[in-house]
Amino acid sequence: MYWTLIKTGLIRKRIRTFLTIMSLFVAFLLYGSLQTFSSIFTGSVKGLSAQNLIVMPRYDMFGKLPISVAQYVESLDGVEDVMYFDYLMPIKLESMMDGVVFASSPNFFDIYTRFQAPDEAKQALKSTRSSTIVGKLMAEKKGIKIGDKLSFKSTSMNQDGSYNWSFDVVGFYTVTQLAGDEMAAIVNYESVDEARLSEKGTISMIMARIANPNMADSISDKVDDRFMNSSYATRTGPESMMAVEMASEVADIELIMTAILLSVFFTILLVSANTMSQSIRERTIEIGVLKCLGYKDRQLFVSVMLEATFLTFCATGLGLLGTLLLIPVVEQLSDGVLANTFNLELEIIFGGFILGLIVAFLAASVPAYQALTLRVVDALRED
Amino acid sequence: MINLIEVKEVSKIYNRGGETLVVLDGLSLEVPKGDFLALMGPSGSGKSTLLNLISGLDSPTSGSIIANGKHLEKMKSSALSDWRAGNVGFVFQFYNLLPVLNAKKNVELPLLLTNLSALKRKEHVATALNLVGLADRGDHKPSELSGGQQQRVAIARALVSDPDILVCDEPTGDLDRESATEILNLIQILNRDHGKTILMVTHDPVAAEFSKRTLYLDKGKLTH
Ligand SMILES: Nc1ncnc2c1ncn2[C@@H]1O[C@H](COP(=O)(O)OP(=O)(O)OP(=O)(O)O)[C@@H](O)[C@H]1O
Ligand SMILES: [Mg+2]
Repeated sequence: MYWTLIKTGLIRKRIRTFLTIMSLFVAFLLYGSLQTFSSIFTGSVKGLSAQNLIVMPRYDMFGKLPISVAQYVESLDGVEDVMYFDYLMPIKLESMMDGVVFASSPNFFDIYTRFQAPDEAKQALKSTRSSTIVGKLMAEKKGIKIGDKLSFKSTSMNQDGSYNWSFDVVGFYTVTQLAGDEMAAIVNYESVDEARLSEKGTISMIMARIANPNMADSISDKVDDRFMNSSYATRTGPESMMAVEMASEVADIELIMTAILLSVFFTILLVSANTMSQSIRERTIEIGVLKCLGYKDRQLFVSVMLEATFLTFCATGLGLLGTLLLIPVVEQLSDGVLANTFNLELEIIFGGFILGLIVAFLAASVPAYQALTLRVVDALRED
Repeated sequence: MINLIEVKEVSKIYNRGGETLVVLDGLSLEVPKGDFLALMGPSGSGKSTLLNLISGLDSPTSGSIIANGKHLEKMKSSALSDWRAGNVGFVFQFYNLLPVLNAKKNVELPLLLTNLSALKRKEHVATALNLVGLADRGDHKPSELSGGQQQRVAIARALVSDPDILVCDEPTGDLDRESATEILNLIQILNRDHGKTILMVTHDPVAAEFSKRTLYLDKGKLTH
């Protein structure tokens, strides 16, 4: 019986029902996407160390520093160990690489503790200059095994005049967070620097482990002051702070986007809720007739509520399904950097349906109550 | 003859902004089983109000209404719903079919409240549509039917749960003479051959001719 009544309500004006579902669908797609993809912005900041200082080129995040900067940092009091690396950029189409190659000092894993690798692999990286440790995700994606040669073309010219580079895979590393960071390989800086014909002796970033986080400021100032007037001015700060700083511009954008999306979301909800209640109000006479036929107040109340809930749940389901379909698209668009980062969490699904229920309730409770209390005699008076 | 309906000293009084409007004034009426009663009277005289009281859609300010052995004025809304579903069929001036449902589905509506199987419901619907001569129009939407045909679907809907009482409020008020005659013939057959007790409000003396007796309502009282 309820199904007949609900269907009657929904097919009454098919186009309106369709448009209502579509606009609610957009709202719930927004909801699902906001919830799911917001981890882009917040995810990268977690799990960073206050004991690590990062030294970067001051004015150009992607510029280079001479290796002498690393030597200077290492010489400072309070600095325990220094790791530095340069990016070796593979040419995508001609590579078995999908990410970047860190040409690093061999103590990469000692300092950058977010990255973890087995001891034998770390040992091999230190002792054999041709070895590489490959991110687990990339290894899986590309089918790379221990003992393979990791060969790729890079934008840097090798000493033989070609752009071909090749390393021996000795193991795999994992990261605790952001699987995109597993789309890379770590190789020995010295062997790369010796072999390349340009940009010799330069590095992209330095990471220094300090004995005491309280000294972070003084050491940072010392480094930045020292190179302030050189052509390679630096910017230094704790890993955690730098990451936040880098993310803060993104965070502003996120805030604005979230605000816009939220207002769109609520506007859609309100408009849809209004359409739904209007559609129910138009049926006063029909509800009166049904009451004549013996339908009870309570039954009509329930049917109106169910109809609204059915409608929003359709939209919620579609919206979440849409989000689910968007995940691989976003991951694809990010070139694998964000691979396996996103999940349509159970909480999000649950929250979506709760939200749907609230919308249905908001939209339907007043007209349903009117249906409940409608006096047949009044509904049917034709004057 | 036993009385199917007994209206005793019923008053219906509305209070509107301090003004009292006495619509029915101590009215009494007895309707034996199998009667076909036409109610006439000027507009606003309370004809619909009386029908609504008898069919349990409204309750009187005072007095009692006994229908099929039940005191309607003492029943709660949900009990009245059940009673209506089992005892009264409604025919309205403007048919009041659900526009999105086809004739069959419209006729089936009262049966959805029963626990009849789908198959049984289908049988009852077919019987009712057959009775009103629309066996071949079951799949048509109201908008695809003429006024007279829509009214016949409405009659089938009123009949489908086999109630004793048929309440018709100006059933031909919106129809041309020819369709009106068809509908009135049909109602007459239901009264004569199927034993339905019929209460019909009409403005049309010709329509009233089809009934067994006609009562006039004026200023809240019945006259003959
Ligand atoms: N809910 C209400 N509140 C106030 N007055 C009402 C209400 N319902 C009906 N009335 C009044 O009761 C009177 C009788 O109404 P009713 O509908 O019974 O008349 P009627 O005889 O059926 O008229 P018509 O021939 O026009 O259908 C009218 O004056 C109407 O205005
Ligand atoms: Mg009337």
